[in-house]
Amino acid sequence: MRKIVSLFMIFVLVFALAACSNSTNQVDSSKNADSEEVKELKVWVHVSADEPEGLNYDLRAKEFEEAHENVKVTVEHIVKTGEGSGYNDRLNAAITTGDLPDVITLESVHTASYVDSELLLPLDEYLDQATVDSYLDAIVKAGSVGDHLYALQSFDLSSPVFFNPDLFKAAGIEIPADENGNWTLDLAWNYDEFLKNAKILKDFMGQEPVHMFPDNSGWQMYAHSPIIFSNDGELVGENGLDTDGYLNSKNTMEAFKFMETLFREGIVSPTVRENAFALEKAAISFEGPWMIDVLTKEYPDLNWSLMPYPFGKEGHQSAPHGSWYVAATQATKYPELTSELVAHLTNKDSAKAMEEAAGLIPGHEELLASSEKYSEYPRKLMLDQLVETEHVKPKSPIFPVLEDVLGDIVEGIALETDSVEKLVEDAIEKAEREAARFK
Amino acid sequence: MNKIRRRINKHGFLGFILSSKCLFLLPAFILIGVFVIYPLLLAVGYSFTDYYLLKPNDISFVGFENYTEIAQDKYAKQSFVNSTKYVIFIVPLQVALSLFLAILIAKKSKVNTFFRTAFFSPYILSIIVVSLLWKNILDPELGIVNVFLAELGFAKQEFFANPDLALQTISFIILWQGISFQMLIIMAALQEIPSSLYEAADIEGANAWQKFRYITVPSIKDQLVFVLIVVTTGTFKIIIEPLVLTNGGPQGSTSSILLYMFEQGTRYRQIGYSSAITVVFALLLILIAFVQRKLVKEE
Repeated sequence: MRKIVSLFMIFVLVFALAACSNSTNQVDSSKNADSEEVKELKVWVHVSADEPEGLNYDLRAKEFEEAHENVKVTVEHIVKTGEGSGYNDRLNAAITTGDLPDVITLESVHTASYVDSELLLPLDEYLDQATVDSYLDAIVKAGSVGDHLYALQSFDLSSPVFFNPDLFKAAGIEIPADENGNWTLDLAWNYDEFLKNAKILKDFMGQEPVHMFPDNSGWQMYAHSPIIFSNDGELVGENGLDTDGYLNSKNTMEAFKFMETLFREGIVSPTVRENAFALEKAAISFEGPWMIDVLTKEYPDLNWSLMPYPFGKEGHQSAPHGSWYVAATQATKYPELTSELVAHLTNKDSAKAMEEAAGLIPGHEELLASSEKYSEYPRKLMLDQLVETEHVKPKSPIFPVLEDVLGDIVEGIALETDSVEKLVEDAIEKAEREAARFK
Repeated sequence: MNKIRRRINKHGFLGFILSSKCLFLLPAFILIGVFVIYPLLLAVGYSFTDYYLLKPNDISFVGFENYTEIAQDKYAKQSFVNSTKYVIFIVPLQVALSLFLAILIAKKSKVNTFFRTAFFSPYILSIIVVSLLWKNILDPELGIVNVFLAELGFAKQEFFANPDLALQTISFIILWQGISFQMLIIMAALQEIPSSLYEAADIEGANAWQKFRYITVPSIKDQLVFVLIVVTTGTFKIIIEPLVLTNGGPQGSTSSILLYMFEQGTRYRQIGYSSAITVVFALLLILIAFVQRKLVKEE
């Protein structure tokens, strides 16, 4: 009886394994058969299908299919849920197993890491110059590493600096304005002017008049690194690896000292003050562009406007920008077609749709003049910042570490855990240890 | 053993496996093999390489380089120290408080049934839900605790932003959530103690402390040891709470070993180095379990 049971069990196991293996083969063989006729392109995006960006990708993919015979584009929405989860997890797993799709979305700041690992396709080798030229310089620069272009996007963001005109007037501060009454980019305050006026506001309000998020997160690199860049400072050398001599250069240290002054003089609170600007507990706030909608809808009585990002040295004005870009991977069997798909996913129609649906700045030169949302101040200031200021975020394979060390420094300055010199010294040690793996 | 050997000789190894009770263990062996043993062996292998997540086809053997780097990495040391601090803050308090609460509500009554449910409810909540709940309660501006402190005339506290407070705050939250499960285990053990022992002690004139010291504690010793081991190893494995509440900050003051390992692997993409930390961590846990077992055996 036992032998019969044993034989039966073996039969069941073998049958199960055989069944699994057969089904896989069937799928594979059908794929091979299909691929002779239809070119399949897979696109992975980090946004859900019901968000404007996700909908936009679906729509462009469908258009691309219709414009090309025997081409099938599948867009897979894998929502990014956090560090080491969702989209990033899936991407990492695909890199490990060599199973990357033809097109992916990625944060523009990580392009250098992917290029260093030879994962991305140089788009400029397959796209004509006119197509590349149609994008804003800021986008082309952000998507380029070395001499090649690897990632594109049809829109971009530029973070505004909000201010409260009522509080400014009440404190006796004259709001800079051009002949049309707009606070334009060329009227931006430098560090000293910013500090002088912030002190006036502090005396008037009796509390920290400027709101910034001082905790350690990616926000520091995105929103506050322009304080350094606008003082002609740098975080890392040209090779993307050396921090000694850059993170502690004279100009960068000056920028850190400026930040230190903001915290020590009681201009900025060393800890997060939620809704400080919306509740009129702060007169100036460094926040994301999405706050425009929040303030408009949730605080209709609040009088707010936008001011240019303050700068350190003349001629080096900078402002936050950057978003998720679209790139073609080396895994694609059809480099030319895939590059064309990247261009299509980020084309002018895409830019128009994203401006309409999400209020994002169009990423094509041609659309700037006709942009409804960004043709008038104060929003035009965001467009001016994107187009006319410097964007020198480091292009480095150790970008995650640079992001962390900048966060460590700013948080350390805010909480006064050490001197600026010691914080920078520790940061260099951390970054150099990581950089050594790439040298 | 001889019996097994005879059966193997008779049926062959595969026949023995298929015809004996071993078959029932097979699913467990497969699961442990696939999800524990295999990844652990992979981690040991990777720990001797420079495996970078974005370059899976360019892996080189680097010997003990990753291990020597751990010894020199002050952030790794900081996270090891933090994990030890979590254990020091949480383990004694969690064991003592769960014992105290279990004694309080061990007797069957309607009031105790209510308290049992109330005390156990945090345990059934997800760690993320609990973390976010406390984040709101302890918010420096709008959190109820700080509003209350301000009403009483005290300064507002930055529970998560202050490097001197953040680790203790997270420890408290972990303690608060974890206490109920340990309490249930101890309570079940308390209910197994024969009441005749306490009656005899009453006749002998023993006071409450003597009954606790000479009847209660010896009777539930095994369960207390179990709780001690589970809480110690569990506390060393903390990751979600610091990740959600502070992301290891401020200034790395709440980062645990697991969080640091996770950061190295997923954020910095250094799988080789992250694996080396995993191996050191696994060895540490094995050592702790071994020492605890040894001490209990000697006892």
